[in-house]
Amino acid sequence: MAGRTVSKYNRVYLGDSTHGVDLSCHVLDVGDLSIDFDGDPIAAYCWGVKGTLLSNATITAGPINAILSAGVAGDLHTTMTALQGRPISMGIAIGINQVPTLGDPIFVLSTDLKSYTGLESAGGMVTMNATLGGGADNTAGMKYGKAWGTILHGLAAASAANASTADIFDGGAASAAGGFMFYCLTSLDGGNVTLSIEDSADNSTYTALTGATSGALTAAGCGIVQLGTTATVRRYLRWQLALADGATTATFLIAFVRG
Amino acid sequence: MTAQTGRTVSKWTKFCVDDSAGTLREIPVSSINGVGLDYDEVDMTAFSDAIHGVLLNHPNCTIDITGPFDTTAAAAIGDGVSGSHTVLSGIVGGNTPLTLDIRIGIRHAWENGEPQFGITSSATDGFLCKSYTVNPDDGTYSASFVMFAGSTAPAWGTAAET
Repeated sequence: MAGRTVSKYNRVYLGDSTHGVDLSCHVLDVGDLSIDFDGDPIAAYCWGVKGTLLSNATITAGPINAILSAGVAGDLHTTMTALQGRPISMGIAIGINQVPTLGDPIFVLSTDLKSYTGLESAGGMVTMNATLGGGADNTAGMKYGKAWGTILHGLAAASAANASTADIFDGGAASAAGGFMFYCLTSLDGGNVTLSIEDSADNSTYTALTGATSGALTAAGCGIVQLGTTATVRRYLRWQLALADGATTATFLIAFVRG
Repeated sequence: MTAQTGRTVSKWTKFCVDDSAGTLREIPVSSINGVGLDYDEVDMTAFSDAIHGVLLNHPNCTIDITGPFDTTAAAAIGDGVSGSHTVLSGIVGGNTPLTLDIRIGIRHAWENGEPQFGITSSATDGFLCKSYTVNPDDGTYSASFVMFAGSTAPAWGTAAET
């Protein structure tokens, strides 16, 4: 769908290589999703107006306010206490008048879980506050000053490879500026799964988008996988998975940010 | 209709900016701040002066907008309003000058002869989109535009930028 929307369709996915959770049923609100480039207007003597060139990007999100939930693996408290003070990969999906699905926008960032603190209260319930880093986690080596991408597979279970020419995203045109994949695997019933992206010039013949793969995952986890900054990404994109070693079902989200 | 004169209301104001392909698009806005030039004022006062005096130096032009987050597909101006996210997510951070045109219709849809402020881009002239921020709880956005280094100044006029 396209158009305007309301916050009940927002979803928050985050984790690291050993955690992958959908916190949407705990989160009350998320602060601004911001992309801001360095560049203060100045003027040489002869210029008619002050101007600038844009330099480094600062990409930030949060804070996250959420209802305390504890005692169950994968819940807010368990996840946040495990991840606090560490790098995380995160995606805030904006569903357009429906739960986020294929084609909906998602804000993807590499950051740190800077704090997980409480106790406050909302509606009589104990709430917690999580703040995120003021920039990308340096160990992630982010190559892109971009954050807005597109969901290729909304968070849902899948048990078979994607051979469809309908469950795809049409980017309108090919590009030669790389990009990065965001994945969040929230459950797997054994064995391992590899999540990846394929691209196509004609929505008929798809091949693997080189570098856009999670590698074999044996448990829940989230991550960002970057392509080279001059990599060609063809017009059509679709999600893909490969189940192995007895795995039959995986629940996951895949998104892609074009460079 | 012919161009009208007099007062008007905000519903006839259009905010138009180039998308990432250089095509001018109208996007939905709910506030626009900084339309026009603001000149640096340099104090020239000496001890012996009876009154403070100033001279005006370079102007600045930073335009801040807010509006609803919207993913509607891009549309030609006149055929509809393009999604704010559709346009802004593609131009934030770019160093290619953008055409920007704020059109103030006088009690009807803007047409040539009615006030507008902006600049038609070239390789050396135009605006840049410096920041784009989405508030996911309100379903709104804010964005900030600054001038490209060395650009000529935008101006008030009565003819559409292209």
